[in-house]
Amino acid sequence: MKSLQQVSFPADFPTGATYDPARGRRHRARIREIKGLLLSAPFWVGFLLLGFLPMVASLYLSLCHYSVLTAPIFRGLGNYIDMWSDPGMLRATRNTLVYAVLSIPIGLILGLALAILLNQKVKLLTIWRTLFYLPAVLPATSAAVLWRWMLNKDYGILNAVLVTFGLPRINWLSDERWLIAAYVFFGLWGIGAGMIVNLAGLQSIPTDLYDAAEVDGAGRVQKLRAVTLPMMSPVIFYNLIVSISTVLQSFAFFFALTQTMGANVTYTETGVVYMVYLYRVAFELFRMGYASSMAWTLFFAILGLTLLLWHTAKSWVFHEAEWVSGR
Amino acid sequence: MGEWAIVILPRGISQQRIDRARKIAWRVALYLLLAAGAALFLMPVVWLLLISLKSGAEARAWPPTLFPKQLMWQNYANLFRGFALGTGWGCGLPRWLLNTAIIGVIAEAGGLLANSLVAFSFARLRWRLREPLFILTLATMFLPGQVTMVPTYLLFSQAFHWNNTWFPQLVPAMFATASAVFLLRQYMLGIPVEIDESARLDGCGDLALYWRVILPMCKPALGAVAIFLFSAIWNDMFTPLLYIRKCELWNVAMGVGVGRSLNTAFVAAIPPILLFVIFQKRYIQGIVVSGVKG
Repeated sequence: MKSLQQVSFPADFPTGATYDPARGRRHRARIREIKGLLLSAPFWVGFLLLGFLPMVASLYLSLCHYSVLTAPIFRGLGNYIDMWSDPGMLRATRNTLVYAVLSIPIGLILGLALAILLNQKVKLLTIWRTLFYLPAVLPATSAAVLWRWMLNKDYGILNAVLVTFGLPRINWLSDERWLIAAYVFFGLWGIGAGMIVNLAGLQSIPTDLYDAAEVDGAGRVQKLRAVTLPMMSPVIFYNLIVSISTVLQSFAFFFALTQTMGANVTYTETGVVYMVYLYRVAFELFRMGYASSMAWTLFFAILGLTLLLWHTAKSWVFHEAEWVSGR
Repeated sequence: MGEWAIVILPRGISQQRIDRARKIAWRVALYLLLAAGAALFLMPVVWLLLISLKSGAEARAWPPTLFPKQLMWQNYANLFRGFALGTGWGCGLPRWLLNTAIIGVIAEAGGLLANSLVAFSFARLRWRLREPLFILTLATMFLPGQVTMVPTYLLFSQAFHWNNTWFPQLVPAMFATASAVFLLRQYMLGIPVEIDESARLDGCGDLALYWRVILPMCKPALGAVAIFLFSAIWNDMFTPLLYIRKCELWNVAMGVGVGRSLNTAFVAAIPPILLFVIFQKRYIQGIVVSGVKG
């Protein structure tokens, strides 16, 4: 078959203006571009309508007073300043931070420890993994109903245990300190999710590293310190970042646990966390501008923490670049 | 511990046997630890399951009994009684299950189609905006949900008047999400290009290639995405809370949160648990690849 270049046109061949192979190529490229944009529309249309535009709107609203009924009134950084003297906001922030500071480190350590235990060529791994992951698959509202029973002052299991040991009953749901302690227990109850990621990480550590350590006479503890922890540091780092963002943004369980839903909503202040208070500000008090500023504050707090940790990660996370590009 | 073992064991015992004894002791300790941990994790659930089979008075009795005097299976049967009588379609578990099923089927169909189309355009077609758009997709993983919450509510509720409808649950599910696109794209990249070439030689256009060739080969990844989409709809209490006042339009998660019935809560927990138990491998791959909890 003759290639295109070898075809010789007669001098009087009616080729239109000029024969331009680049034009056809450009045409095909444009078609390809349109096809790509059409097929990827479910992403970028959704991003524009439900991601980008709401973000811009939210940024603007956060600088306004807006109660839905009247047009937004611009007030600059007023909302961001009001936060610092809003007792509800301060209380919610304090509760959330206490919960985060207590539950994240313990959760990370226990999640890793559990994964290490399950990685010891344990028999029936699937069953163990299912048992420990089970609490993490429960729907948030179901978990909240279960926890309301457990925390009940009169007939809950936690108080039953306390009474058996001769200790006084605790009013878990109305004593804020104990309620936050219960939050921490709940957080630890859900370490299954972190465990699964850890387990996958442990299974991908090359076994020859352990063999080499064994040849050098390393025991269990030394292998843990010299091989497991450094190799797992990217996974630990990843779990840390993920748990910070999920803990600070947690809503459904805490809302269903502390608030009555449905027709008659009465706001319960005890044990309120950041997102529950944000919900109240936005959808019960209809202070949409203030709620938006709270949302952005939380976003910047999470972003700031993440960047800070990213910065310190260089000193303790092993081969971070490899992990990131390897995924 | 080694020293101590040598002292109490009879003379002439070999180092190998000591090592083996230590190994066995370690295994026993390991299993004991795991069993204790699992018991601590699941004891409350088992205890509550037993409570859910007690009569109302016995469930709240002090001191609490461990085993019900009489197993009240009707506690669960009663949830469906209205259904059997044909009167339960007002508010109640059967109605909420039906609602969730309808929402779930539509969201699954639309979501799978949307995510796989986008993944296909990122993995299998060559176009110039592909890379920037893919990076943008990944960047949306960091899109803060709480920030878009208020304007999205204003859009759906005040502008579109979607209150007391399922649109706020359904419409967002029709669009692609970063983690699902990422998971599907990675999977599609693993399919050899030769398959595309031979399909195109057989006269397949882009859409035929997507629908007849690539999609059937992506079943495992589609399965993982389907599980995520299902969990999102099944566990979603927030959207009904914002938009739906009529209890006959609630999904199961919302009904559980309002009613706070232990029996309903357990029934609502069954599908996610079953899904995890049955599709464990796929589920875990999904979590690990995309970093998203189901």
